[in-house]
Amino acid sequence: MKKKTIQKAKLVSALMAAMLAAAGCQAGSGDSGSTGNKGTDASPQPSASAAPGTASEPKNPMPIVTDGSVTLTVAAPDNPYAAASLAQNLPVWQEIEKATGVKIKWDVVPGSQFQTAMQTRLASGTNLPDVILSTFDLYKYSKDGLLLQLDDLIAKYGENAVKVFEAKPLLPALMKTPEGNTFHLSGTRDDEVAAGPYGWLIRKDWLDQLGLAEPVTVDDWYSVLKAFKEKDPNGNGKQDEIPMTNYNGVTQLYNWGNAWGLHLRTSDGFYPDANGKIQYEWLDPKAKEMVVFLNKLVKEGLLDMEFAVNKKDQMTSKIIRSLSGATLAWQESNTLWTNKLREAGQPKAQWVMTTPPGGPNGYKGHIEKTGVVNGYAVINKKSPNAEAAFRWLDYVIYNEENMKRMTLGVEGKTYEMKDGQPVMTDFVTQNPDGLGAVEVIRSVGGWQLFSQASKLDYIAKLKQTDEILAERAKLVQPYLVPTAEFAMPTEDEFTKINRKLTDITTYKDEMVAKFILGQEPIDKWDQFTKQIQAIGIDEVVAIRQSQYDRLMSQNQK
Amino acid sequence: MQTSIAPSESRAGVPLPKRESALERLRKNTSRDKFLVLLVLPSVIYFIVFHYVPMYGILMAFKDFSPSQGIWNSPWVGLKWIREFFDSIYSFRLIKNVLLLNLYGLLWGFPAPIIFALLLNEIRRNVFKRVVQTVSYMPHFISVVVIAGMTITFLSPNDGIVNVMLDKLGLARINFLSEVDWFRTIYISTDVWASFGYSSILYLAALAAIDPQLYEAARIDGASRFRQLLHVTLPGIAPTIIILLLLQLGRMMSVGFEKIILLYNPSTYEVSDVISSYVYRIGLVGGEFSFAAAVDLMNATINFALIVTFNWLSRRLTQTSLW
Repeated sequence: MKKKTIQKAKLVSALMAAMLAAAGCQAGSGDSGSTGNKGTDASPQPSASAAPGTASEPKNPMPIVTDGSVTLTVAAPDNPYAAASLAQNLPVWQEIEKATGVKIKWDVVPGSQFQTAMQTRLASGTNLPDVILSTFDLYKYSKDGLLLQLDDLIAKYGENAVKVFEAKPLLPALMKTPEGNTFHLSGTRDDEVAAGPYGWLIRKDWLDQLGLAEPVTVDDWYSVLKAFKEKDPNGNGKQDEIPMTNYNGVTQLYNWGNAWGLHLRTSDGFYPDANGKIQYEWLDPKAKEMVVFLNKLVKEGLLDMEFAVNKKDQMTSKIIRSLSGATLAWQESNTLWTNKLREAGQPKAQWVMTTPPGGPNGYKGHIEKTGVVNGYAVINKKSPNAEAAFRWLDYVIYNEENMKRMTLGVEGKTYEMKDGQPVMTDFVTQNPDGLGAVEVIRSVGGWQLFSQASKLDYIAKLKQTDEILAERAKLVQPYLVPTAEFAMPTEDEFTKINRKLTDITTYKDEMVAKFILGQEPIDKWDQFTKQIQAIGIDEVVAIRQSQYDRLMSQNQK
Repeated sequence: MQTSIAPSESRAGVPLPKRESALERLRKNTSRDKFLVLLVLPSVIYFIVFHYVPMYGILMAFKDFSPSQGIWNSPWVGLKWIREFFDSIYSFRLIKNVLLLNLYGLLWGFPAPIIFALLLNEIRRNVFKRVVQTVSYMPHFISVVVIAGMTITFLSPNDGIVNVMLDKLGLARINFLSEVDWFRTIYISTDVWASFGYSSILYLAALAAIDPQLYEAARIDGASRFRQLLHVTLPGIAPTIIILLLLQLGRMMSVGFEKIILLYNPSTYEVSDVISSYVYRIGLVGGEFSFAAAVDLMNATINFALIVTFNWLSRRLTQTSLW
């Protein structure tokens, strides 16, 4: 059993690595070929009024224009740091304007309403901006002929984009429609997880106080949480501890499946096995083992019985009131929690990330990376400045200098160069308003919700503001596994999946929540898997399989 | 022009009272009441522009709408979307949940403001009456999000005030929001709490309109206060009650979607999942305008059928009706 799982994991990763490598070569050679052809087209390009190329002729030299004749209307979800709207022309974007020579007219909507607002505007098809920096997939609209096809522009001007694509060949494959065309530009931030991982956080000071080691397997977790409950680590003389809390409902708990080698949360249970065959892992008996384990935690009061209800606020409140000592979250949350607890008179308080739990069957556990794709940037087909818009996007999303700017902010304000290395200033690390590093960068306009590529080094600078964070991020790095990626569905596939999967997900979430809460007896598990099959999981798996196969073949083209 | 027609006809000396055609009558009435017509014109234009013209969009429910083709040029698909809705194994559960939430909501929520208004009406001291009235309106102005937040906090099984009290009384703690049995109670009681004060305004207005002489007469006949309530007050506000009940019945297929989304979770789907929340999860998000329009049209049709039926019933039984 144990050997088999490890083998499987190895095979999958080997397979993926091989495919990536193959695709890398292909993309590279394909590109140089097209450069030769398109280079001649590009030379008489009139609007490229830029400085002459240095060594080899750059395809997308900056600035795009020098006379300020181009203004782009850019629609985007507004800054998640609400106190500084993008419309206020924040410092990062002033720098971008300076570098590109293109003026930006922002057309921003608060992030929570962006999708609804943008969809309504796209549906009416009028009064559209030149560029949309979207957080959701706009394929439906590109098919409707509202969006500019980008393949030729990528070949002609996509100097920065192609560099990123070469490093991450899965990205351009994921951007292609089923017909093989490209209508949007996506950034990629999957290294984000390596720099600031998402996973199991625990109060180190509670462990030390009770003389416990950091938990390694799910069984260790059980005894640690039990000790948290019974031995009064918050020292108020009452057994009021809720050892582990969470937020985001029952689906967040699916992360525990990682201990059994499953991928139930980020990949939603659809994951290729060693032979590249997509499996729905909820049908695996190991999923039942996970549910039994979680049910035990709830029954014995070790896991917050409000797990299905908690919002982030409720979780944070339990943590900073020193009631809970473990949770699942992004690593950087540790800083805020530790500080708040220390302010509240617990000088020893220390939240740390620990390695993901291993399973009882000997599997070492893993953490799934986030998907490769980050955001969807598109250009309005009717835009009079389409070319400039593309060149602008190529710079804003993929240019390395700009990656640094979007991740670390403005030199002299949020970071400084020391010995050729960027170092965050006190304004970030000890912000006068008490903001976290990410919030500070957002307050100057960087680290937004939409398309952005970034590099591990930069993200590490942003996310690892102290030594413990850096050390712990390194500790969990060997546990990272890729999430399953699928090519864009055809419209038919999309509708089918959408309907069937909504029913399956509804049923699955409902039943699993009840199993964990003990409202349904676990004997009904077989009935549960049968019902999932009856609703039609095979059809969904078949579609996922064809999406997966398509991605792999596009990847090799 | 028009003014001259009618007199000239009469001058032509047709002696017998001829039945005018509808068109003529309209013309005549319009010319007579031209200022009244002018007065009503803005509302008519408003309804045409903002309520009737957009009905063109209903076509979307029977088409495979794509933005670049527009509503008219998108291909027809008939009842495809409705069929797809009923393909879901959950379609009947969803409809049942909507109807039951509304039915129980009606049972508890409808009498509450009436009883409250009747009680207020019996209060003699005006200052006290006004204070109570104002205080009871207040919850109406609290946003749904806040109400849901309060509900979650108060009902928390760990440290919510309700469970702390249960604990002190020696009773077992209840995981209110994760239990199927409690969802409807919570949803409806918070609804009633938030709305009964405000909804009582209409009844208070109706109560104020009852002729005091009726009470005097009843008192002279020796009716007790309870008898007065039964035989004067209630019949006095009965038409208002019926009209409001009819309007409520016309909303049986609608449900406050935000509050559902804020209060439900997978463990209570069995009773809490409604059409709108399901359509939300299916991904209205996915830009499926046609599907959403079809489901909404289905709800509206059922609502319309209900209101027409009950209006007819009410006219037969009580002589009170909306039209």
